[in-house]
Parts: sequence; C-alpha cells; structure tokens
Amino acid sequence: MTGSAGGSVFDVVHRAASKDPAVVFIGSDIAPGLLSEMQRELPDQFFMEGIQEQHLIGMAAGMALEGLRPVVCTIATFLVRRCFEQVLIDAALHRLPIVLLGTGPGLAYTALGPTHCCVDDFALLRVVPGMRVIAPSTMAEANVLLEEGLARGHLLYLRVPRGDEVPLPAANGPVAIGVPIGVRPGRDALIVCTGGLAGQAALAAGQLAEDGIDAGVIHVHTIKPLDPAALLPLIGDVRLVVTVEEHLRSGGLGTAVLETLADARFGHPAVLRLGLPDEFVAGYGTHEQALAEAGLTAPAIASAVREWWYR
Amino acid sequence: MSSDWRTDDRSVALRRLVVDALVSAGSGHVGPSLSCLEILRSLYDGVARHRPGEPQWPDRDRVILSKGHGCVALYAVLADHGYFGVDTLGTLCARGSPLGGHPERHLVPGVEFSTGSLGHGLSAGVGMALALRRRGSPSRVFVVLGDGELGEGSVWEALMSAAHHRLANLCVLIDRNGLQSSGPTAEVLDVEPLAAKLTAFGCAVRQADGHDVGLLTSLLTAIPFDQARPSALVCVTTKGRGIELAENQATWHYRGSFTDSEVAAMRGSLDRLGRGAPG
Repeated sequence: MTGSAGGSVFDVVHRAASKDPAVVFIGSDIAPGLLSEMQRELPDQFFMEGIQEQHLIGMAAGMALEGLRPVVCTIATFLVRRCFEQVLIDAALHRLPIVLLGTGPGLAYTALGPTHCCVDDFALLRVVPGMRVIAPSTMAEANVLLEEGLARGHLLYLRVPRGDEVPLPAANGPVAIGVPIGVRPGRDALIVCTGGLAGQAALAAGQLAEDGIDAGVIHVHTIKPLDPAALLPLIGDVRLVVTVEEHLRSGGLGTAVLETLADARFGHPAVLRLGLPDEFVAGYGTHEQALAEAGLTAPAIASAVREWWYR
Repeated sequence: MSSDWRTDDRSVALRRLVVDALVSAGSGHVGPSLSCLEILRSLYDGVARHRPGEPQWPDRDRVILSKGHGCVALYAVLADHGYFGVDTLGTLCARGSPLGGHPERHLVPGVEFSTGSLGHGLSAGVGMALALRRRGSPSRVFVVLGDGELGEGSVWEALMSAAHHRLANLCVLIDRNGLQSSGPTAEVLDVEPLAAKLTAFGCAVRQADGHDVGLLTSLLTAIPFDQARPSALVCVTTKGRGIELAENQATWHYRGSFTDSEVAAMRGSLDRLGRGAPG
C-alpha cells in the first residue's frame, strides 16, 4: 500500500477537501454524524442533501462544470439504478471528474431485501463510457484507490467496503487503478476475484493447494477499464479461470473476463463464473448467510473448483 | 388556424434561420423551436452577460436549454450572435456537423449543457449556481424548460433544492406552450396551476407573454424577483409561433420530413410576418 490512507474513504475525502477547496462532498440523506468534522471545518465543501439521487448527480455535474470535484455518496443501489441516466448523460457524456461512493454494495443489505441489494452495479456501470468501476477488497485498499481517483480527476464509481472483509495476504505490490493485484501464482487454475470476496478467494486457493490443485489468485479491483495487457499475462496457460464476485454472474467481472479472453482469441482456459443467479435477492438473513447460500465463501469457492477439476 | 400574431424584423429573421436550418436537415422539431425563440432572443440580446468571442468567459451568465429539442432556436440565436458561422446552420443534423437534433456542449460554442433527455438541465443549473455563488461570481444561471418537461420528477427535485439553497442567482424559464408531443398538456398531464406550484416550491414567480421581447427583457432585467429565492418566469407561448401551418399543432412538434408545399407554406408565413402581417 502507498499513500497516507488510514481510516475510511470518508477520511480520504476529508483530507482531499482540506488540501483542495474544489473537492466537495455530497451525501444523499446518509447517516447523521458522517463527516461531521469536515462539515465543521469546511462547511462550504459539505452538502447533505435530500433523497433525490437524480437531482444530485445533475447538481454534481453542474458543480464539476464550474471546476469543483464532487464526491457523491449514498447507498450503492440508489446511486446506480435510480439515477443511471444522470450518471450516463450528466456525468459521463460531459466527461466530468465526479466520484460516486456506493455504500452497502453486493449482498451487504440482504436483511433489507432486494430493493437495497446492489448486485448489478458492475453490469450497469460497465456500459458507461469513461467510467471507472472499482471494487476494493478492503477499506485500506479503497482509500488508496480513492486518493488516486481524486488526484487524477477520474469519473469513478467505488464500492465502499463494509470494513469487515478478510484481507488479502500482505505485500502484493502496488495498489493502483487499473492494475490487477497478483495475490499468488498457480499453475493449474487462476481465481480472478474482486471486491470484498478477494480474501475469501485467497483462502480458497490455500484450501485447494492442500488438495493438490495449484490455484493462483488475482484481485481485479478495477473492473473497468480491464486492461487485457495486464490481465492476460497473469492468466498464462492455466486450464481453468474462476471468476468470483458478489454480483450477478452476468454483466460483471466474469463477463468482462470472458470478453477479454474472447477478444484476445485466448481459446484455452475454461471459465467458471461464480456469482449470483439471474434472480432477485431473496430470503433475508445475514450477509454471511447470503454469501454462503450463493456459494461465495472460501470453502464453497474451493469446492466449486474441485468439482470442476475432478469432474 | 389563423394567427393574428405580428412581430418585428429581428424575430422574423431569426425564424428564417430556424426554418432554413430545419429545411436543410429535412426534419426536426418545428413547434418547440418556434415557441422558445423570443425567450432565447431576449436572453442573448438584452439580459445575459456573454461574449460570443469568448464562450468560456468566466463571468458570463449561463444559459441552459433544458428542453434540448428546441435547440434549432438556440443555434440560430448563437449563430446570429457570432458564436459560430451562420452557414453552419445549413449543416444541421448532417453527418459530422456540430449541430445535432439536440445540443451538445463539447460540440457547440455557447452551449452550456448537453440536453435532449428531459429533466436534466435544471439540476445542472442548480449545481452551477451553487458553485458560482460559492466563488462570489456575479454570473447568473438561466434554465429554459418546456412545460411538457415538467412531467419529469427530477425537475421538481431540482426546484426543491434550488429553493432550499436560496439560489437567487438562478432563473427558471418555462416555455408554456401548452402542447406536448402527443397533445395538449391539459389533456396529457395537466401542469396547472403552474404559477401556484412554482410558488409553493419556493420560487418567486412571474408570468408573461413569452413572445413579447420587450416585456421579457424588462422582467428578466429585474431578477432576482426576490433576494432569497430562485426566480421563475412562466412564458406563455404558442407552439410553432409564426408558421400558420404549425401553430398549436401537435403534429408539428416534430416533422420527419417536409413536403415541398409545406416548405412553401412555412416560407410564405415568414414572408407575411416580414410584411407586418400575421404569419
């Protein structure tokens, strides 16, 4: 890790705003007390607005056209679905430096039902030209990526980690937007994971090693753009690529990897896509229960790979 | 339907630019361009501070045409002011032209915001007004919306926000032509009582004949109507104004093509208007 990325992504926003008066935070009716220190110190750069996601993306676009660097934050599902056209037209068509921070991504809000589970954000935002779609594995990684995104003035969507993710093993090289992280090499299979499941994928690889399957792991925090020149060498000549994401099996990381392989005429590896089925999230319960049921825990990932390997 | 409307040479000349551009393109939004022409003319001729030779002049007033389908009127006014050559109007909607059927900021000097999908412009205007006020800029933001566009919920989100933030540097202009694509707004989605709604949403509201340049100019020169609220001006207009064939005709909201006789009729209306007779 690099940078001064302690605390949470909100601390990163506060620090960036302290250094650059163009950085403004726009929340859509999110938790009371969030960034209260920033609100006190930099009241002109803090906006806690109403429940009006469409308007807020347009407002952020207007601000960005006047030279500001808005960071818009709300629950991921509302930030992506409700205001998709504003993200596409107001932000992306105008090529504006706007950061979207989506909280509670994936199955985090399983208990709150399908309206609150953001399991289609990669699919929706991958089709937005110029958008960077980022799913960090931990808050520490999110902080580094957000710092870079703010410094570079990217149009960027970032899944805000919950903070309870299993971290990746240490010392995995630089954390930079667009650069996959090689977690461990493997001759037989390669697990390509993203977001909060990266740590689970690394644990699964460890379990597979005990069974004699040498599975490597790479963490693709930047789902878009996915640079073939960065991805393909890491895939090498393994027989199986396994994608792991807390997202629908369609449209997200697995699809992006398939596209990359197809475009490269990279015919060899089979691809096993682990994720969520083409169904609404149902059943309530805890995040952990939902992940287990979806086969997205370390033992389940290892089991799926084993089943394919010894089929 | 016979129009009894008369206007001055400048409005006739601008209408000729609009009609010529539409005829060059072979299709386009006739009615919505002609209803907002005097609104845009008033803004660019006598109200908004702007420099055609320096479209990004920081202290300019921002004009957003949220009803982007009326853009041929905007193009005509911008070209007339020298933002780009009048000849460019003849390329409307041609492959590779900067002038499309909806305006794009990165293609057309003077266009502040790319619009086309309705309900987007006012939120952008709110963001601009907030940013301009924060840096102490004298610039104002004018956003022109259609009355059919008021069906978009995002417009009312933006109005609530503008009032909440007391954006006295923001002026909302409604092109109240009473007709949307499929028919009269009163039948499709009634927006009345419009002035009362805008007032209830926190705007300081005035209403005027949207083709009366003198009245529009004098009202808009007096903004803000209230020092602590956004201004809203309901401009009562006629869709297709000045072209007898098109006035108040839903079928002339958008034309996919023009027959020779329709082109002749449009030009005939403008000739009559130019002689001081009704179009």
